[in-house]
Amino acid sequence: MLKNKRVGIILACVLMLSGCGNASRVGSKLTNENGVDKVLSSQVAAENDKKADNTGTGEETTVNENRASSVDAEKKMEKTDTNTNVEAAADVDIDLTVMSSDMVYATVYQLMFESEDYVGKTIKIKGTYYATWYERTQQYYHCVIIKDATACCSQGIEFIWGDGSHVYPDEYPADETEVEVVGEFEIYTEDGYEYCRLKNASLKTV
Amino acid sequence: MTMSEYIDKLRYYLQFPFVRYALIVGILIALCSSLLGVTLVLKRYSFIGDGLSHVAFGAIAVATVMDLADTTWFTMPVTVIAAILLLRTGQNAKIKGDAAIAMLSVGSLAVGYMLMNVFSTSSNISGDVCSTLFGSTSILTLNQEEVWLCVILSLVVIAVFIIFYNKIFAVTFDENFSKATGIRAERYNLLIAVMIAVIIVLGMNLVGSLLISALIIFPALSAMRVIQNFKGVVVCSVIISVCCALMGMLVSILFSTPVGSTIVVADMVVFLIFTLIGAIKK
Repeated sequence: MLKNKRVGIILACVLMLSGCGNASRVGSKLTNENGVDKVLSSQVAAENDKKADNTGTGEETTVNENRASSVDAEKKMEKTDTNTNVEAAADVDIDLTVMSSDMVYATVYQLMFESEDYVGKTIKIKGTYYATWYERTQQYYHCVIIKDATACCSQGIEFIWGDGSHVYPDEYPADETEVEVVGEFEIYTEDGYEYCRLKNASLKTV
Repeated sequence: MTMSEYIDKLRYYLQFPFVRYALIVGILIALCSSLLGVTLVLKRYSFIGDGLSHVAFGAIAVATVMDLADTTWFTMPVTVIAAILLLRTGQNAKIKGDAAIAMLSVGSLAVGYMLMNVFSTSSNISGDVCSTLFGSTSILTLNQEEVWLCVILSLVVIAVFIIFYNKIFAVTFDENFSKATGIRAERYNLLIAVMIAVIIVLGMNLVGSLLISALIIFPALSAMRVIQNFKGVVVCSVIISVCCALMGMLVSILFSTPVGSTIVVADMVVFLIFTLIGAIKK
């Protein structure tokens, strides 16, 4: 009898915890997209992309045109940057392109967390190019991303190509292009926060 | 690439302070873990390291969620308390020995991973989990404060081991006999548990929480293949552990392999060599 009572209490607790919890409170804590959500949303996005590829021929031409223009931009960029790269290579203080991936990751980490030690130094880095739009400042930021040896951790560093007059997206490579950037490390303040980047950088696709 | 080119590359890398920090901390952690490894293996506590490292993982997850600047100050006491509870209540508790360790181990791992997934504000959860479980490049990203903390705690562990060497030796081999001779075995078991917890939290920077047991167990087991006395095994275990850690770190920064797993593979290779030598000697 006592055993049955115990089982009844346990069952009631299980039901209360699993079915009758305050869903809105749980939801508020689950605002961060977790791994399962990410996988689901990426699978849905992939399926949608497939459908779009099969149905819209007009869209395909637009994509191809964009790709063609980005290839042209890359070619232009390589031509214009040949001279600046030769000049920059001579004065490189930290050349991340000759380092192993562990060392590249650790050095970029140090650049981010011990920034003062590296101000004014010329740094050469090779990685994946990404551009990102920031709503508050209404501008694009350009960065080069590197991964560690296990490829689970990645870090990036922002750069300003030349004097910053290059036009995005016409003159820049497409996202995820492998690039080599050489520039002078600096710390700058924006929106009340300190950031670091490579200024007067040269950019080359590799 | 020729040998001289590798040496030049290594010299270039050694100019960076964080590489020198990594080597110092790595060697000290390897030394401490091997010192206690012999005791743990002989006392049949090999698996306690694994259980405590998972507790440390859970504690790191909580510290990350709480947005603590330095997770060590939270992880260390939690792991020490878990170690004490495991050793002290192990004898009288309803859930005993290996079952308690297994329960604590998987429970902490699951809770830690869940907390990191649900509450973490980090943009790279898989990266955080990966570096906590496997070390990743954590040893190369230590700041000066973390290095000093590692150095001080390692020196304390080494000093305690040397000071209480005779007592630890007695408790390791025959706890009942040591009790009969007036040694308070419980106290020394507690001391051992605290030292294990400290080493595990420090070692997580080097090889991560999943591989820390290898750092404790392999050098001791390798030494036991060829040497038959306690002091000899401890000294040999320390030498093996330090050499493997140094080799592993150098290989990983030269050839871009993950630091933790490279050290453990080096330990495994040495274990196989020593097993062969032991078999030939017989």
